[in-house]
Amino acid sequence: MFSVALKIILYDKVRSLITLSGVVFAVSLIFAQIGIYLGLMETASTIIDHTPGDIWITSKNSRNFDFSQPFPEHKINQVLAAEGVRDAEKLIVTWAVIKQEEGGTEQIEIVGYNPDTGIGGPWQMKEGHFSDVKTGNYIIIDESSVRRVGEFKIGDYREIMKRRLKIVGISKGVKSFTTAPIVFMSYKLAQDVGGLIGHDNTVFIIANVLEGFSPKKVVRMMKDNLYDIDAFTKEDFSRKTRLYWTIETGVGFSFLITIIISFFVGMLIVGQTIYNSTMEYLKEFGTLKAIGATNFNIYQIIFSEALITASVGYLAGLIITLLSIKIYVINDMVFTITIRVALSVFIVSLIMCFSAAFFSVRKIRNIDPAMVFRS
Amino acid sequence: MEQAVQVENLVKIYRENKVEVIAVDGVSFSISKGEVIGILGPSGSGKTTLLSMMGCILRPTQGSIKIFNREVTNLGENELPFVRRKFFGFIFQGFNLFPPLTVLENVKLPLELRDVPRQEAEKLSLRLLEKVGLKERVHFLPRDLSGGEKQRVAIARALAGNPSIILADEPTGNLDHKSGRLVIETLRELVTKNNACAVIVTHDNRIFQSLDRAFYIEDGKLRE
Repeated sequence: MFSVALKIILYDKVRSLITLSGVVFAVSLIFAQIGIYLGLMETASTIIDHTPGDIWITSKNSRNFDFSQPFPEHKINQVLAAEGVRDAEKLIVTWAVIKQEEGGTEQIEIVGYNPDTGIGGPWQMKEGHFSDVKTGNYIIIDESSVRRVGEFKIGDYREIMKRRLKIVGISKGVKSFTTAPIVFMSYKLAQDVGGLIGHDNTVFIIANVLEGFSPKKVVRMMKDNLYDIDAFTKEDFSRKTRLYWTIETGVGFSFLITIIISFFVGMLIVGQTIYNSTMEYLKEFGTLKAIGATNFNIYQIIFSEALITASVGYLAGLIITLLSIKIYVINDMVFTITIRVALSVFIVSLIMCFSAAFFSVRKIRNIDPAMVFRS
Repeated sequence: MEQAVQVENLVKIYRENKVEVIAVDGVSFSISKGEVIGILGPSGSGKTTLLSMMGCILRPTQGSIKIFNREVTNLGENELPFVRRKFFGFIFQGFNLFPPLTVLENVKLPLELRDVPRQEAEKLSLRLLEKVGLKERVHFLPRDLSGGEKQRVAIARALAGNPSIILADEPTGNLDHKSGRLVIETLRELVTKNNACAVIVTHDNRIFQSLDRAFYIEDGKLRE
């Protein structure tokens, strides 16, 4: 029956092309929405995900990476004394203002890390090394910041919070969800420059656990024993940050709505054309019933049509998506498509086309084979 | 000779808007293997209704139909497709070929329903198409055939599953005299060769001499 379905699709090429366009449109839109969403979420938690560390300790009720509040840095002693902790490092993330070359200012996100260990620092360098910020008023700026802070090169100076700081390195692939440029510097300098932090405060402590201890268990013990701070496993804090941006900004809802609309638009287009095709071949389906086909045999034809349409439409949509990735890159956007996402969208396409085929099933069930004798 | 179909006191009443129309009224007859019989009558006389009931497509209001001595009027909806598949081959006035399928694929359809292996189905279909004189047209689409050729494809399709009973509804209705005669001759020849039987419903008196027996139906009542 699959071959009959294929023949029906190939017979009326114009109609099939319209159906396929509907699926391709829906699949491409779903891919675009998911790809952009995942790209945004990747940037939201990129520093957490790239920083080696099992546990993130934050101020009480911290809701995400970008807006965590400072807390006394001596808490690191309590963290180090906690059972199962191997080592711990402090990290500052705060907001500041950079003066632009041609005048005006731009908001930036400062990340202050220990240049000896590099924990929390840039993980991919275009020029320089993460430890280069160690001995002075030095900074590393990500290459993606050019649009916001103007052209720069190693050796240039930039004024941040009225301090002249020298660029000693250029990092790669560090973008924030807020689109604010990320500027790396030493922990001590970040305490000085980020006036809101205070000299005895930190924003995060990143801890690693001893072998044999699970981060989840150590986090639970920390929550029970350490006063006025919160602790999360790396994965939990990453998820919490992504969820914050997804829910609090409404970005997740907006993407979800577009995906749902795409799904239904695709379903209606496919549903309408499969239904029209069923109506057109009603007499032939009646003939099939008369010569001994069961309803199931005819459902096989209808659902094979849906399967072929979904598969070809999906493949075309995927190819268009992969070809369009370059456009996102040129526009400085992070676009993420994983194999898991690609498989999920394929399943969504199948559900979309199979649901559409159900419009026709009722019609088939009610075909009276006696109709074939009416000429 | 073995009886293929036995019809006894068959009645079909259509009810619409509280109005009852008796389409078939107490019809009884039987058909043996190898026979080609005709049911003649004017439009609206009940010919097609009778044929639909014999082919297990329409349920009678009353009466009995036995196919090779097996009562079929009491079978469930799920069983009827299998009875149709096993015993019957249908030929329709409008040919009812699948437009997107080639001649060969149309003939193969009943064999696919019977789960006949692909190669065997192809061989059988080609043999039948050769018998109906369409060997050169196997890869044509129905739209590229004449009316007579389409009906010969329909005959090949009806015979593809090697059915014991062929039911033909006005098989010459859309054909000119010459094509009509060729179709009936082909059908007659293949029925005899396959030791099947055929019931031809028609109001075409010209095919009268090709029949073994003929019945006349009017107002739902049948007479030989």
